[in-house]
Amino acid sequence: MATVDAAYGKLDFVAIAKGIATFLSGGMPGYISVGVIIIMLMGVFWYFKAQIKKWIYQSSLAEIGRNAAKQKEDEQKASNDLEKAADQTNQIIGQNPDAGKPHRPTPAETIED
Amino acid sequence: MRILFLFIILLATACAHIKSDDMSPLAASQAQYPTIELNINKQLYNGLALISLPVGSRWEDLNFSIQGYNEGQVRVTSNSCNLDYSTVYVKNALIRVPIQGEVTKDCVFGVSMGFKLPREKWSGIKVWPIIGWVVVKAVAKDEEWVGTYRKVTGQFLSTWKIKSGDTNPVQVFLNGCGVAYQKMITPKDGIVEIELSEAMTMNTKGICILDGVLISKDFANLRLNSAVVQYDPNFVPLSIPVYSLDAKGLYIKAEESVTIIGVDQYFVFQQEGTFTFDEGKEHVVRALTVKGRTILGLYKEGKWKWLQ
Repeated sequence: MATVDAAYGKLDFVAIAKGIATFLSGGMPGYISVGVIIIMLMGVFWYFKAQIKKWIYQSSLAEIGRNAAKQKEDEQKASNDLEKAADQTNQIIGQNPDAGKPHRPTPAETIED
Repeated sequence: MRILFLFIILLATACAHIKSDDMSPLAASQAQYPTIELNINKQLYNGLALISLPVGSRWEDLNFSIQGYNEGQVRVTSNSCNLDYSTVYVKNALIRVPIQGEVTKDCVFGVSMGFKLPREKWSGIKVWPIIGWVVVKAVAKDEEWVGTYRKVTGQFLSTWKIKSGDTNPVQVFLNGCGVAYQKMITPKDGIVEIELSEAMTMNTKGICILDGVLISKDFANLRLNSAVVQYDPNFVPLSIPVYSLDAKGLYIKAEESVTIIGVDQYFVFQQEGTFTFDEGKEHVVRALTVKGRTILGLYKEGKWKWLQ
């Protein structure tokens, strides 16, 4: 069984697969060997697929944690900035008191486009 | 080589049924685009809300809920109002945020949600978390207030039109977004127009909240707030789905990348569906992708309003 192509120094995967298939099928005819190879490939494929799904799921969970932490961080900054801005507005209002001015007859509102 | 080729074909075949969202290069949360469905005092918001509450009122009276999708987890934080609430939910639950006490100061609530698709529907594609913002302005007794909230991107222009009833020029001050804005504005037909891009640093990402005042010659000071989210220009908001109404009900077909659509409390994990629909009642239509792009459709008295 040639597993290494001496001329090129590369692994001969076809020969390896045939060898394993022959070994597993106990020297059964070629079409059974092919069947064994396909079953093996399917097994490998489903294993990797399950691993990839597991990895993606864990990656999604990690992303949820990262996202929540970042949102909290951004919220803290926004809260602090709003507090500072509100203080500045209060100072401006303090310099421009509206004592004596009437309230608007209809409450002000934003006009939506 | 032949085996490797066979393996690639098997892998490609297996991946073909995985439903991704390729319409937007970025997920909503990556782009800082808020898309959590917020329900505040029976009013719906798509990811971003700004409201006012009187100082001295109770937080318990604020009906603040978050719409869950399938099952997942939600976190709501507010540094200024000492809240850090986390919970898990199932069955598309509407999660009420438990805030208690007396309203004494402004509050910013940052909301994040992670959700997962049903095991039998989930094909191994990454499901991105989504974010939302709620800003509550505590307004003093007798203080007049008006606010607005926007999602903008790039070199935006966004005019805030305030129907204040003023006829004489007014002075407007705004702070909080990197620019000390001060401008004398002449109202047109009782409407004051403020160009928000002049009051903030552009091309940043995330939320900033403008706080200011409109000083009038004729009326009391008018307190102003604007919650503005600047999102990444590479993000593509979800488009309005195709819909039609017939004897069978409301048929909805969303973009191919949509994973969940729902009407009121009925959800399906596909891009189209037909739902029972009473034209005489109010309804909410939702669509969502795995990248957290959402759209909400509000139906009321024969009219639709879409919130991206």
